[in-house]
Amino acid sequence: MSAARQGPDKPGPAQTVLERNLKRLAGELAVIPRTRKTALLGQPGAGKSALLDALTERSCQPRPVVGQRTDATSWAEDPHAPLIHRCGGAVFVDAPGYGTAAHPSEAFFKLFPFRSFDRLIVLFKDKLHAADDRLLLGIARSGLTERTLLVRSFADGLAQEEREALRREWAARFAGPVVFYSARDRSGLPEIAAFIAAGDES
Amino acid sequence: MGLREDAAKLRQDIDDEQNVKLRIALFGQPGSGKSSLINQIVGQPVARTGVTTDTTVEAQVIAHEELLFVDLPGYGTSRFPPNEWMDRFRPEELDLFLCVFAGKFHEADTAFFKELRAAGRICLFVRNKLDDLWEDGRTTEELRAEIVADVERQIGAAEPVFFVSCRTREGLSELVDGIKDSLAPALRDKYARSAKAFTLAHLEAKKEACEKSVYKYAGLAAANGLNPVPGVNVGVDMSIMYKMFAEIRASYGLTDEKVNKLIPSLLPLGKRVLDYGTKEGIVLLLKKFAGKSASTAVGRFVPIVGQAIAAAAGFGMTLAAGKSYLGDCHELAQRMLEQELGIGRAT
Repeated sequence: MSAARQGPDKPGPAQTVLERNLKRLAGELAVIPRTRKTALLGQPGAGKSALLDALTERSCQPRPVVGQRTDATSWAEDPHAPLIHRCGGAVFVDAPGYGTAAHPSEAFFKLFPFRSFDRLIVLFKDKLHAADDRLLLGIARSGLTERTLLVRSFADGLAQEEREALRREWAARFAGPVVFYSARDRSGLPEIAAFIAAGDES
Repeated sequence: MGLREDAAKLRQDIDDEQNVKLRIALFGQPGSGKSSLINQIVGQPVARTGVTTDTTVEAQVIAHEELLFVDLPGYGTSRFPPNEWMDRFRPEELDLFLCVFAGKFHEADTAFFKELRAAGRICLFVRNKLDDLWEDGRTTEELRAEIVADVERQIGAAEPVFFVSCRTREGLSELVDGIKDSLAPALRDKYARSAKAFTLAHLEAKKEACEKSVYKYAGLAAANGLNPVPGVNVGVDMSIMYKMFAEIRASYGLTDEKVNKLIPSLLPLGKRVLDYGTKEGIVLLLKKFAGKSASTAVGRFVPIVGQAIAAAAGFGMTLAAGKSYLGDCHELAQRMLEQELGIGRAT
């Protein structure tokens, strides 16, 4: 494995490390049959890694990288970075936050193998950004809305009327289900777990 | 210089002071809490806030007293590429930049913050939503250190980071100090007059800054002896007096609404502030100080108002009235702040 390793400063002439990793992901997923595959997608710092840790009760292999550091989960430096997390009979992909300097959303959206997944969990905190809108639009156009769950993280501070205002706003932008989630009080976690497991016969 | 020249110069001074705003620009992702931060800095709900997405990409400009906030909701999006932004908003015309973030750095943050710093602009880094900063099994100190390190990595230089929460108000006092410290001395008074006081020290700074305005207004009101004060053998310009009183009150954020909601023990003082703020109240106050001479301390005023005005007949009266009103407003604001901070004295 180490023979093929290149330094982080030297991506291939045509492809960046991120692009190579995204293509590798598609290949790795293709050879995992009959397993529920779930992707966690979202803005940097939306809480994807922490959600994965909570969903799998910290037992997935390898454990995700949780942290305040931008690009804590990075696919842009190591061409052999682990891309897939396994937990029991399920497979998770904890995508790096899109829209950072190291993970520009254009390259990310173009190459991410959305169709290889049974479940897409789109997380966001604060407000929906332009990049989130692009992602949701892409999901709708590809007919993937049914397998997608929109999750508003850091929701413990939201008042009831704020939640209702948000639901109204999102209804115009995304036709699928929405869950309010908080890592702190774990509210919303059962709904997310149920969505991931629903209809799984593998 | 004669009275007329002094007055003309003073009027120019006052106009300039009011026309030249302190311009503070806020950058940050949608939802990073820029509008909430503006409201906290001025202590009044001047900016529209909300949890839903603001779809405008136009810069929101919010004026409050002598402060002007420029809020850029859609910065760094495809409709607002960084280069175009720099041309359109001319950062050299802005006095201070607040780089607001409430999570990890997006590509646009990194690009903008770096560019601003490279341009030599004064930037303060504000990590908003401190109350959201939480991670299982880790202390706030660890998380803060990690954020400071991340800022350094993204910006390429070590920068102090202000951690604030608009919900719990933690850190706001330090931010207000931080803003003041990074301003040019000439702009500090402006800021002290217009920003909300979070501590008693802030309030003292506000009083000092207001006092300078009182000298100018009092001088101009005395020089323009247009309106004879009933029962007193001198005239003053009542509209200038009225403007001065209104400005003092606004500096302390003593709106009618706030004063009317005061606890009973503060109501008499509040009522006095409202009553003396009217034209009738001002006349009463002027009469009270009629015959008061400013000449004892004339030397101190000369640099501000000019020799001729310092010697003008009505100056002692207008100055004393202004200072008295400033004193009342200051005391009321101080008692209100003490109550807010839970150090209220028993009355």
